[in-house]
Amino acid sequence: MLLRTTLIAALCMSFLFVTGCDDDSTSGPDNTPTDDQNYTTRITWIELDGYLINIWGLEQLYVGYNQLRLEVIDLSTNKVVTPDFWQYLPTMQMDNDLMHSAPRTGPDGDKFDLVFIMPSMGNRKWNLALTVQVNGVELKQDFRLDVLPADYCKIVGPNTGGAEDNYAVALKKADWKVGLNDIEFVLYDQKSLMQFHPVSVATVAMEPDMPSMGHGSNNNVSPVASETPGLFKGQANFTMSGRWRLTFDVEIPIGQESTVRLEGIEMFVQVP
Amino acid sequence: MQLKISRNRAAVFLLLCLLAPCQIYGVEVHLAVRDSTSGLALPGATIRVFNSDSIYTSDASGLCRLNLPPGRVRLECACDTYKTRLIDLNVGQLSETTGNIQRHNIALQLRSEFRTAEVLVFDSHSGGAARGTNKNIEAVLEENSGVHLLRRSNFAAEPTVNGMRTGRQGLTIDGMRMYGACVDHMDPAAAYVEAHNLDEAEISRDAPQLENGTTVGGSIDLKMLKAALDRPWRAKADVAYNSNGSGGDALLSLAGGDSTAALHLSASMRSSGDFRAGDNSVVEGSAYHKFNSYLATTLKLNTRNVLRSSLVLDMARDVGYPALIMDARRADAWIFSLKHEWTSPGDVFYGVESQVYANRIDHSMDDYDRSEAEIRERGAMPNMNMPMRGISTTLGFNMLGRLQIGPTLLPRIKLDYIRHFLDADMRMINLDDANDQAYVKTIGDYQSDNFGLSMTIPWAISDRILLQLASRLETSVSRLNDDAGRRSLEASTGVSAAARNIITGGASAGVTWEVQDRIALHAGAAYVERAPTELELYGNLLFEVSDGYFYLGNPSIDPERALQFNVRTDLETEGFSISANVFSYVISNLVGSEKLTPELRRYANIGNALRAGFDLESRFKLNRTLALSGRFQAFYGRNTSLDEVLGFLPQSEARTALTFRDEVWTGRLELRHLFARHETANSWPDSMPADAATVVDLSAGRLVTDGLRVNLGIKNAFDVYYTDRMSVGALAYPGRSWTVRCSYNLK
Repeated sequence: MLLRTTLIAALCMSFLFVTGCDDDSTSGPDNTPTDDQNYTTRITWIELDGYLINIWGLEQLYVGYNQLRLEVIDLSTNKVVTPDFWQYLPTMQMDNDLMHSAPRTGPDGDKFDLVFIMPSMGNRKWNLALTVQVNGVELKQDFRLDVLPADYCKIVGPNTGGAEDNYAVALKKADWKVGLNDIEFVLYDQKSLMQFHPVSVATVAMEPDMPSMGHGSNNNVSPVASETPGLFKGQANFTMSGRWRLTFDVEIPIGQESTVRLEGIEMFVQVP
Repeated sequence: MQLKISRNRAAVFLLLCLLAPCQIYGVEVHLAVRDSTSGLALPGATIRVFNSDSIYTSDASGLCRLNLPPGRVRLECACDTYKTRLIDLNVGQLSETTGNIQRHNIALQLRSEFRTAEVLVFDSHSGGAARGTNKNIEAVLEENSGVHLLRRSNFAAEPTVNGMRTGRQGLTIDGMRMYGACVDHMDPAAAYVEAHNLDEAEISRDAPQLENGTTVGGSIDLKMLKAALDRPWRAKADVAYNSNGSGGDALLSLAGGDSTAALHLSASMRSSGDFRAGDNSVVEGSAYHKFNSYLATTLKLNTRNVLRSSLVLDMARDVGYPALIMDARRADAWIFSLKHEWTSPGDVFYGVESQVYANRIDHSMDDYDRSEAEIRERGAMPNMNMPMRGISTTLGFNMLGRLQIGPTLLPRIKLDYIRHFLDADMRMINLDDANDQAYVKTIGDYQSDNFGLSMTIPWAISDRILLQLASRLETSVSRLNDDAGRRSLEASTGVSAAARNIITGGASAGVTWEVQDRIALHAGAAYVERAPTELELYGNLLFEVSDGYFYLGNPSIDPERALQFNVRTDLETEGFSISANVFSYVISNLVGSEKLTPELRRYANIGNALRAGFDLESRFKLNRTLALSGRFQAFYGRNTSLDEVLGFLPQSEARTALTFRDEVWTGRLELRHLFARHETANSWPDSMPADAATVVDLSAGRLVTDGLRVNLGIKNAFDVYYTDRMSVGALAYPGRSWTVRCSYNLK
């Protein structure tokens, strides 16, 4: 009977033991999607003539396609006011006394988009010249912007030597995730150091791959032109987390018979 | 027909021969005890009658005459190092005209079905008693006709039935559904059962056994040894050395119990270094190490209620897979079962068996033991380490009810429910920059709920005809709970990876006709469907080494269907028996793969296929101690839609064995010939050509003293270099290998 009692107790214990194992199998990246439509990062601000001017972004500024929002608050009422008119100009002063701008769109309401083509380096920062007219009062301010280095923008061209031959291409940063991702790709024709015109007609081929892992993915959709000038939309399949490379080949028609081919434009994204 | 086959050829058939009641106080029953392979008589077997003091012993001819009371009687049969068997008889309902003890097996199975007795199969603890060679579970299974091993290493081969691998055929342990945790099939469930803990392997090849699931390719149920009540305590020690790979194994076991409780406990270790192939080349990275323990208990709560439990803990470490690009670092299995057996006092409702079980498989593998040069130069995924992990958890419940409607109809009804979880991932680490990593869910937190209902009806239409009908309905709901895993799969396949509800069913009919006392015919037909496996549904980027493709699951794939037919005939005379079996499978919705890109394939229904085969087995008893046996098997398989050969199609083979056995010595000489098969297919990565080969094994054993047995064996005696079609990457078989084994039984 002692053996029997022992066995009954052991049975109960063993069942609990086997079924009670911790399951630590869910290790791996957290792919919880985030809301990328919220402008929650205050890029810069200033109080000017009774108004508070805020520039909001989705995140810290980086080399590439940045979406920004202007906010003007009347400090006397502490309410947001809509400007009668506003405009902006991004510039960067180069060492050789030359100055250049960056591709941009807007203002569109309170929104504007900026493609920073290089990062801030030391004392050389981007300057954002802002003019706002509100309630008949014109407010002007230059903002110094820190732009972080990133791989989301390239200046490419057929290498004929002049800036006017170049194109700016940029990838709109997103909350990359494993699976199918929307890709937004902007293309600007650099007319001069200060002028960038959006390109609306082009053929874009896109190839995602993981260069260090030696494989790509299938079911990708190369970007095609959207209704927004210069903006091309496609889809990329990131089959796993890690560092992905997006390689773009762009063909831009020039006139009736000639084209400009921009090949092997590489941008890297980190998929968590 | 369902075959009950021992775990090796040293099995024993205990033939129940039922004679007329001849005494006032009881019924005389005759038994014959013999080796199932050689047919040689086994003298000295003891047969105990439960709840009485009666103990009988088989004579020099293996015969034994019992005097039993009418009604239900349980016998315990034990013989030397063979495994002990329990037999349930309903003595009062035995026929008066079935007294020929030389009846062939089919007839005995027929009678055993409707008389609730069993045709019994039992064999040696060590597997060495008759063969004298080292045994593992793969070797035990392979000795059964129709079973072939899919090899990726020198360890844990995947058993197939008629060339049907896991998924098409079901592998269960004591009726428990088992699922692997490794997406590369490096952890077949058979690996968790050591041969010394195996009671028997129940293999269904033709008209399928449907109680454990709907499968198109038969099933294997590994029945574990149970703790026997009323048995004196016994201990056993067993140790062996294998020259090829300088490996060995060791076993300690303890068993015994009183009238209400019993226990069986064993612990064993198995280890080997890199083995050497027949051309004297060392197969690098083929070593393995393993520990296994098994605990079984039996509690007799009262005369009608018995509680049985079992726990398997199996731990493998550093298992080399030379055919693959990674090795198993760790494979742990916990397998627990609790079963309640209730015997009804009524005549119609015979009894109920209820079982709950849980198992957890934790498997990890990597390529850390591979050389940097190999990693950099390999064709697939070079320049990176790729640790992978998989965890499979299964919870199950089943209830089997046995009915007895009159003396000739014994239906069984089984309900089962299974919840299965599987999560597996892979990390890729750049050799040149450890911070450059990638990560993917190869199956993202998979979950399935399966519910099945099956009914089996053995019906003795007449004294010579047994009809067996079976049917099963199963529904399963599968899903991926991991968002990233689901998104990744959907993006690559273009198919929704939402939850999938699949209903499958099957029905079979078999008839056994005892034409004469020594001749029987069996014919069977079945229609079965099998649900796609979790990997076929939801697998993501599964690398297949044999073709270099990455495979994607396909959540929209349909169940595979098969029509099966088989005809078998058995003839047995004094000292001679022969049986022939022909089978065919007509498969529709065949699950194969389609090419998506130069790197990717996706599981898909790729058409129809035909599988067929023939096997012939014979046994000839030369004299009291010598027997000659032989077997020939041929297989045919074709994808009729693509008009090409099927994958995993075993080569035809012939085996012949000469067996010697007396009271002291055992010996065996076996010759195996594999016929060449060179045809390959485009749509099957595994259809590699294989040459013909002939291999000879020898073994001898001697009972040195009471309880001490020594065996000496030599496998592949002529050191032949060979591989076969079931060896992934043309992995060679081991060359010549000497084995020495010592077993000691302490009673």
